[in-house]
Amino acid sequence: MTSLATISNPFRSSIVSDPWKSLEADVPTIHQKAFIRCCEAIAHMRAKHETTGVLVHGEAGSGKTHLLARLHTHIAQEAKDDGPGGLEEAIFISAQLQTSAKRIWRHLRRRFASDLLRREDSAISQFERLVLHQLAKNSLVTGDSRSWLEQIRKEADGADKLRDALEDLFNKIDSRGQIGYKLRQVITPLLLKKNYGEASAWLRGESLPKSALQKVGIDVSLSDDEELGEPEEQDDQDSQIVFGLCGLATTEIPLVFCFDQVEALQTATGDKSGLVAFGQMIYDLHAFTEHLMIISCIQSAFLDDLRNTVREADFARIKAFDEVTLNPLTREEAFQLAKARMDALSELKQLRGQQTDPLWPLQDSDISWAFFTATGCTARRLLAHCADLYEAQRSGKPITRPPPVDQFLDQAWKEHKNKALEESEPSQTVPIIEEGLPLLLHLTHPNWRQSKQDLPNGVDLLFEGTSRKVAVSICNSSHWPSLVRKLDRLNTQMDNKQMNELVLLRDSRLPVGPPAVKTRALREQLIQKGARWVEPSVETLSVLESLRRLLADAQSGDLANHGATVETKTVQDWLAQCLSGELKNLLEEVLPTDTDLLDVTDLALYEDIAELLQRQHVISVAHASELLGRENKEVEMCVQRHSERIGVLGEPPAVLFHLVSEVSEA
Amino acid sequence: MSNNRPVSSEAADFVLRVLQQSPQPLGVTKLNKAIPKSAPFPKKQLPELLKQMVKSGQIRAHGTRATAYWLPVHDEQACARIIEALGERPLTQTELRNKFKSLLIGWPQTKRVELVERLIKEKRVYKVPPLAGKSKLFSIRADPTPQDYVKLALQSAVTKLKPLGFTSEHVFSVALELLQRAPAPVPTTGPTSIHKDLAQIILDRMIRLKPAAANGALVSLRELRRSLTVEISSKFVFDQTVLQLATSGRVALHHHDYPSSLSQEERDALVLDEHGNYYVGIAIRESGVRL
Repeated sequence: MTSLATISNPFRSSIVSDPWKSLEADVPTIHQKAFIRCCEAIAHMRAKHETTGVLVHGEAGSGKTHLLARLHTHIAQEAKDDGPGGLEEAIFISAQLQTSAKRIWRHLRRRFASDLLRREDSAISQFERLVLHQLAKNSLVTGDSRSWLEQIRKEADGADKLRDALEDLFNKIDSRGQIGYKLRQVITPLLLKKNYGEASAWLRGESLPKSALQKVGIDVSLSDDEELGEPEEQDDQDSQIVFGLCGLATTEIPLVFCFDQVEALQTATGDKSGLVAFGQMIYDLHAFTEHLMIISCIQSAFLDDLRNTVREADFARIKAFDEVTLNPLTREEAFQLAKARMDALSELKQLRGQQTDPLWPLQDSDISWAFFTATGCTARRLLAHCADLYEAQRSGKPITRPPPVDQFLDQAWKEHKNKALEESEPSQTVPIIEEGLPLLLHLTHPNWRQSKQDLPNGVDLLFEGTSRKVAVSICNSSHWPSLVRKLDRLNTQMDNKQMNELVLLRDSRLPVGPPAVKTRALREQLIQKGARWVEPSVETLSVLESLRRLLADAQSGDLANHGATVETKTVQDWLAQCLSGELKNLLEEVLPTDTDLLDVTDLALYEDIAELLQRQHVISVAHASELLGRENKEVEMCVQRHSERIGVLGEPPAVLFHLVSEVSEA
Repeated sequence: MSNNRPVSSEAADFVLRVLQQSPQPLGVTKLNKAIPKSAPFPKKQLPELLKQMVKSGQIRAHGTRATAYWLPVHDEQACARIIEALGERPLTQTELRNKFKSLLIGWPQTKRVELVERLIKEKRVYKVPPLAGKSKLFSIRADPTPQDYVKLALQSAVTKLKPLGFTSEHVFSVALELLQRAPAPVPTTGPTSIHKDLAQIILDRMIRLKPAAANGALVSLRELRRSLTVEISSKFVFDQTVLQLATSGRVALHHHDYPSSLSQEERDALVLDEHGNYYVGIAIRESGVRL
């Protein structure tokens, strides 16, 4: 028989962290006005053919992301209800702004591409839907466009037919040349699902080797600008891709961009350049697009900062259509939400139907305890409170206290670390280092400051201490010509005073193998001149990413211990106290107390072995030595020195294997 | 400051929450009543728990037999109320003591005196020469202004003429005539309507500052306070009016999650409630919902 004890707690998952997730329970009357204004803004944009924006603000945990999820569901449902020939579903893009000023366009490009290529219940991606709609609208495809695409994929000359159709399409819709050559090239493999991995990686802005670029139809002889050394030029390239993709949108299928956690752009180091860059980005999106609705969500506490930091013209565009407020819940709304959550579980709804108290098994007086203040209560706090009340009712035990903040942070840290390990890939190393390293230094070396002015060419980060300057160049490119150009630029500037200490950082999963002769030679020259070559391991990058995410979550008010927001300062203090061994090692490598030169010969051999192990995951020392043309002793000594990155069996080492990171138990 | 570790338990949380929700100090009996029956600890442990919490500095107490308890943050709020009471004009000791009855409900008499002494020590309140007699007056200014003394003289006239059947309205009216100015309107409104006026001033100014506020857009409390410095110069009055607007359900307030990241000056620009919450924004609620 069903009893309360057997039914799960309906309040446990209190936070909607992703607007793509379906809502467990929704009370349409809560924040109804804000929701209606967002819908009206979409209708306005469709009718007027002009990009517009809505600024949404509320306290941390007030339901901003929930509102976006409701809008996402509504957009899909509205089109479904309208049926064929009716209103089409808008393209939904969501980006949490956990990034920096420098990478804001790249971040948007990545999020835009990922959401466009997303496949939910439907087998067709948003990207395919958009392009097929354009082809049908311009009479380049007749009949059912999905069947046409399926047919094209099967035909031997399907690629040519598709290319011709796309060329005609671009001639019709892109007279201003907004959709660039490379983007046009990549659309074909994306639709054909041939070399899809390479094409989607390019669309997301990942660094690709020459061979991959060739596969997706990008002429590598023209790709001298594939990865540019200058951040401004890189920004231009990323923004052009974004504008190009926006150029595919139409009145019938417009785009809805949701920028969540805008406050995360204001980093824990107090840097406001992210907010400035955000304002400029919104301005540019308004200037270069027509069928875009931009929703920007920010915590009320940061609203003044945003208004005072961005240019007036930018702020006007952020809230071009309207500015809506998500107020704390009233008691009546709180009761409605509690009821809706409980009724979302059919078994519980059935049990509740037998009771006279509409809030059973909770009581209104107990729920009212969540109203600490006279002005209301956020949804997050209410749900955390109800979760405790429900648990107490279910188990017959008193309410358990929330864990102490140290314990909560320890758990959150483990979860972030595991997630970072699972999602770790070399394409994310640049943002992790660019954004994580300054945060790490801010925590551990408060006397050091990051300089953002007049960075030498090829330098990504510059740190200034009382008597030292350390320049960091992230050399993570898989495209050798780009990396050679970067190292060459650094080599010619080694006399620059800003470069009295240079650190070259590269992901340890991307060994500079023997074919990269020029790269190796330039690197050796730089090391001879005093540069330090640092290869952070996957574990190190994962903990740096955890640090970045934990601080960004705290900054955006999304770190809540039983509904109570944990302050950024608390997280900073905790991180500084509990700094992991990996991060200490990374700091020691970037800012060493002892600056001995690295053995260049050993580094080259280590990379040869690492590259070999990427191809053959297990190999004997003897075989490896033979393949690399080295003595067994040399290989043995080298792997012992790099034992944290190369798996070794036997004493002395007999078998080498490729190390894979293990996700710890949270 | 106490060196004892704060008492960290569910029972302590209940005590803190009840004290947070009370606008005044509470005795053990009232605390006992305010803690819900479902609270997971035996109430006979309450006196011992309170003792430990006082030792650790989490709460304050005064008195031996009928001890009253309050939160440290209430000390500062009580000080603010005393300063507020002295904002209008300097007061005699008796006048101040009378004001305490409504301003500092529940505070033990000796504690009230202690608070005034503390304010004098911190140079936030001064003892100044009286208009007549020997007993010094309490003032928020080290050197009272002529206006302060004129107000005192008028008040003295009101007090002395009362036994002769003159009301305060008569006195003020005559004073104005003597100064050859237009007759003053006879004040007929009490404190409630004055507060109502202030509330309306705040609501009107919100819409003037930001027309979208009429439709519920959030207005910065910093900006609102700044724009009303002439009309509502007192922080205490501004904060109280805003909080009462929220309690009545006419507005919603948005709080700041990280007040400790702000400077004292920045915090002062926000609205502070009796539970120690700082508010950054105010929005008119659509239908004046009661919370």
